[in-house]
Amino acid sequence: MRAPTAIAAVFALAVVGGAALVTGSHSPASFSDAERAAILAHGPWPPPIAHDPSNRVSGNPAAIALGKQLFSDARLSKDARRSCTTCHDPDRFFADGRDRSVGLARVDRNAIALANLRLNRWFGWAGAADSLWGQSLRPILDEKELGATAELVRERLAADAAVSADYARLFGSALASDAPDLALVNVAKALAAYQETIVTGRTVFDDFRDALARDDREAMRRYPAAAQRGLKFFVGQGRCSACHFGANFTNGEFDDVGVPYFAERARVDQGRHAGIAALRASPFNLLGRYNDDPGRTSAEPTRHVEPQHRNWGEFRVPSLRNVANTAPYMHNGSLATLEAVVRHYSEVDIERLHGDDGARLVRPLRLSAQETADLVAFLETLSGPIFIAP
Amino acid sequence: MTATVMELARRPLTDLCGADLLAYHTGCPPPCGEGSGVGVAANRRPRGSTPPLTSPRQGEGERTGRAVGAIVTFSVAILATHAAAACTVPEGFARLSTPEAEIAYRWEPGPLKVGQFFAVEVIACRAPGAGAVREIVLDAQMPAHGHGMNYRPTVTSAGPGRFRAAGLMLHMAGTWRLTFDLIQADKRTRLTQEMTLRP
Repeated sequence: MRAPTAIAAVFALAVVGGAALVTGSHSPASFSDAERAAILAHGPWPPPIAHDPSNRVSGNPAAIALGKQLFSDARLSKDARRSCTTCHDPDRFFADGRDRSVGLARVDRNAIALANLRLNRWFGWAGAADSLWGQSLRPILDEKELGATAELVRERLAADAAVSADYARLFGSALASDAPDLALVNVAKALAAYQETIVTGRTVFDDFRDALARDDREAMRRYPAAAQRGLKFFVGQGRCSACHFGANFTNGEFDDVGVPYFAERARVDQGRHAGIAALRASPFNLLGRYNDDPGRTSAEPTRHVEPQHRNWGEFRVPSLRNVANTAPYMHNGSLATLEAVVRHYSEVDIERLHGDDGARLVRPLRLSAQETADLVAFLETLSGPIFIAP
Repeated sequence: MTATVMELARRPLTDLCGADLLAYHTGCPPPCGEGSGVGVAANRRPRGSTPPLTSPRQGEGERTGRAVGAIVTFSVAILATHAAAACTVPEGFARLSTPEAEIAYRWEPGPLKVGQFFAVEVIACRAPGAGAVREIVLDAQMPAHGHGMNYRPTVTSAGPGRFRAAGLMLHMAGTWRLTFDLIQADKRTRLTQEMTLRP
């Protein structure tokens, strides 16, 4: 168990312990049929996970091992000093704790914690990638992040006999003689195979959800009363679960929730609007030659995604699993704590929103101090241990 | 006569069979035609005639003429080559009709789930007048939220009077309003249907 795993486990135990102290001191909250249905939709956990059909080495133990090695390999960066772990630190729940990450330069966005990635439809805050391997090669090439080139990556790794041998076994070709783009894609597919193994375990909330499903009121009482109140608001009046939907607490899509979109003075982060443009322009998207899925069913979202005006300023709805461990929050890391996030939704300025969508779905919740505390208490029960490939 | 038309629609869950959408797809009887004899009558009607189908529950229809609306989610230009196909509706299809037009459709895979891509098979039963339906436009909106789908489906012909729309995805639970525009040379006829997608 790595450090964050241990931390998460301790945290979970602490929550359970805290809950145990109040066992018997409160009755389970009363939920309407609609609230109950919404809560049950947040599970069961873990969900079944399938291998990625667009990546022929998905689930391959040798690819996972190679990917794990490469994940911390500084040869993937231009200055040979940075790696994936620079921003996705295994000891920080695969994030970096910064508001906006710093590679070769400071980037516009917060590093999204890596976990449960096989459940994603889109990757990155703007969904500029439609596969985990496509997302994995993007920072390697980004001049503000690792700043390398496909040629540089191939050259450096081909000089390593062990990596070259692993590569040949996995992909059936020689790293040194593969075209640079193909070599980069294959490296990214190994990185993806590893990252797919990073998953979060069950949480206190999951136990409550399952107890609710079987109407086990005794087990339901173990869930803290404040968390139950927060959950009721989350799926009810707060309408949080409209976007933070399902077992992974995200519908996988994008929304404008009124976070300022200026990356710096006079420069706007276009969010999903630019993400769709980048996706379509990328030779590495799932409509391209590097998709290993012969039926191309994995490319269905890419084939049909529709750019719309309201995509301006939209960012991906993040999963809330382990959210208490992955501060700061929002696409630009502008909110330092869960309390600040809840206050944002309490006081959101709808004049900032681009489309009718946000104007109608996102609205100031005007929460009391108690409601704020309850929502935070609920969010803190979504933390579980992290499991990673050995 | 024209064999025509298209597209999707669905009744509100509670309108479908007194239950919800999931129930409909997992065993409730077909909401239209079946049981009332309407579907059977349609199947028996000779090819070449316009089946005078009437639905026990009609969708909301409106004719918008040439001034075609702005939102075009699906668009397929398919010239109808047959004057009119009898509306042969296989078991499991639902119907949606107005006084002017009628379609039959089914999802695949069903039941629908939030965030899951699906396709719609559509059988064109009846369109106004004698002109061929040249194009199909389909959209889905969430009236309470003021937004639509994030994806543009593609529509292909699946034979005379039959179409298949792929690439639909409803990304939130709640009430969706589906619109099906049947476009002919000089008119556009809209069928609408509301449905509630449960978590």
